[in-house]
Amino acid sequence: MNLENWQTQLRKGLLDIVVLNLLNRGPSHGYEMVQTMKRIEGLQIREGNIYPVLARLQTDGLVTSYSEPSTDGPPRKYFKLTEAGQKALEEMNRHWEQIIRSLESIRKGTGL
Amino acid sequence: MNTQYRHSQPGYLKIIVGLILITIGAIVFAYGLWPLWMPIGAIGIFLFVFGYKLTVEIKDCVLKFWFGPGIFWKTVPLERIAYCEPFKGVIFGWGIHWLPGGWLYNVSGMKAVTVVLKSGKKMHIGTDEPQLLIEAINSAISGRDGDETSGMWAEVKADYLRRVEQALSAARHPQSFEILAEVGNHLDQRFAELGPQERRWEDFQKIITEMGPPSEYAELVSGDKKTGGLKFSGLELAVVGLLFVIFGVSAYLYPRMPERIVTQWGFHGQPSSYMPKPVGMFGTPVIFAVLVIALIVIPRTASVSVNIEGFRRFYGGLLIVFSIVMLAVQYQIILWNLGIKTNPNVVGIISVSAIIVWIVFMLYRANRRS
Repeated sequence: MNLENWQTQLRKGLLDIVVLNLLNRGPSHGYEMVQTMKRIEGLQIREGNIYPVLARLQTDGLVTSYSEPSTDGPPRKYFKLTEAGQKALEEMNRHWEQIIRSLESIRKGTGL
Repeated sequence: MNTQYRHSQPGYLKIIVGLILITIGAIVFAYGLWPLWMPIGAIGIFLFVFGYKLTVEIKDCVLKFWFGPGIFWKTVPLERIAYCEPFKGVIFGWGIHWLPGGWLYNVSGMKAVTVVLKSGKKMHIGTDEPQLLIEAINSAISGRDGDETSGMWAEVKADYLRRVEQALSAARHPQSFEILAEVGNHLDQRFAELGPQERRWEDFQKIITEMGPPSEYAELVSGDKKTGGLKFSGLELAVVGLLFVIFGVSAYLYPRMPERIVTQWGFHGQPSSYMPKPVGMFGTPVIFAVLVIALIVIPRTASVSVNIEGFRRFYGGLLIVFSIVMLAVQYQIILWNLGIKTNPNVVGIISVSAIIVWIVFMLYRANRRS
């Protein structure tokens, strides 16, 4: 089994929930989110991956964006959660916790 | 010095309108309506020759653009350009005309970039890849003022953005333009953070590797949704519209047609084959409809969509050629059976011309980025 490939696929699969949780802490822009994720072990993504995910979440109405001037370049595009995004995130987090519990029960042999 | 950027945007609608006007001009001439054929034909030829593409090029520190084959062109030295930005406003019309802020040069579509000169004057250049043109102009400006590594970075960045754009065009996401702009800004930020000793080819490639392969953009932007889906391109909508017009005109004129319809002619223009009225009147539109539906549906089937995407320009040309040939055939059938004895050889000339134009386009497209 190609472990690296599995990890990459897992990270990509988790991108939506990671991005929404990051935005749950407050508005942020793509570059900032990438830098934050780079500092968190196991969540390092390919930097360009964040932009298509943000665009899709925006099309789905889970995040919204606005521009703010930047001191070191063109205006920054900031993203923030919408009400629908907040609800989706709560649901996703609940589901994620359930997956963790289920996986743990399999690993420990309990509840089978 | 090498060409830093070169792109031609085709003006499909002008080609079709131009060919239609040329045909009308030829028919008016054939029927001896002398004064009319010349202006109609002239407008058609003008549209066809100058409207079939708009080319923008950045080469030797000069921004240059021209319509059609490049008989007339406009040049702007890069040193006169302050910056370049997306056009903010609504674009109507083709050709060269005045818009608030400056002159617009446009061959098709409603996208343009605004070039702001150091004098404060502006001009708007129509394009189907605004973000890449903006990047190219801004990079060329900074490369002119900067050192060799800036120019090298501009090339690396432009190449990556072009590949991302190609990947995103397959996904047809409505925010592809914004994604490209964000990725461009991200790359600029990464470049700005490099120390003087890190501005080497290897470091640039490392940044590109860390950005990820362009194919992932399409995968991530579409999520679990099928890409392409039910969205239609402007060309497809135009062809479907033409199909409805052909059906509508045929149905409208149906009561005035004879019971037996002439559908084929001999070499000297004499009728050689007749069909019953319903088949004769609607046979060609039905064949046209089947071909159009096939050409629109096949690229959207999941198993072939990726391959078809790379072949999209070929496919667009095929749609145009089918439309012109079918339009010419139905037009000949209707006019002749109404009693207007048009020359059937005109249909042959139009069909062969359409195929030749299409082949020329294919050859031209194959070399355009070389």
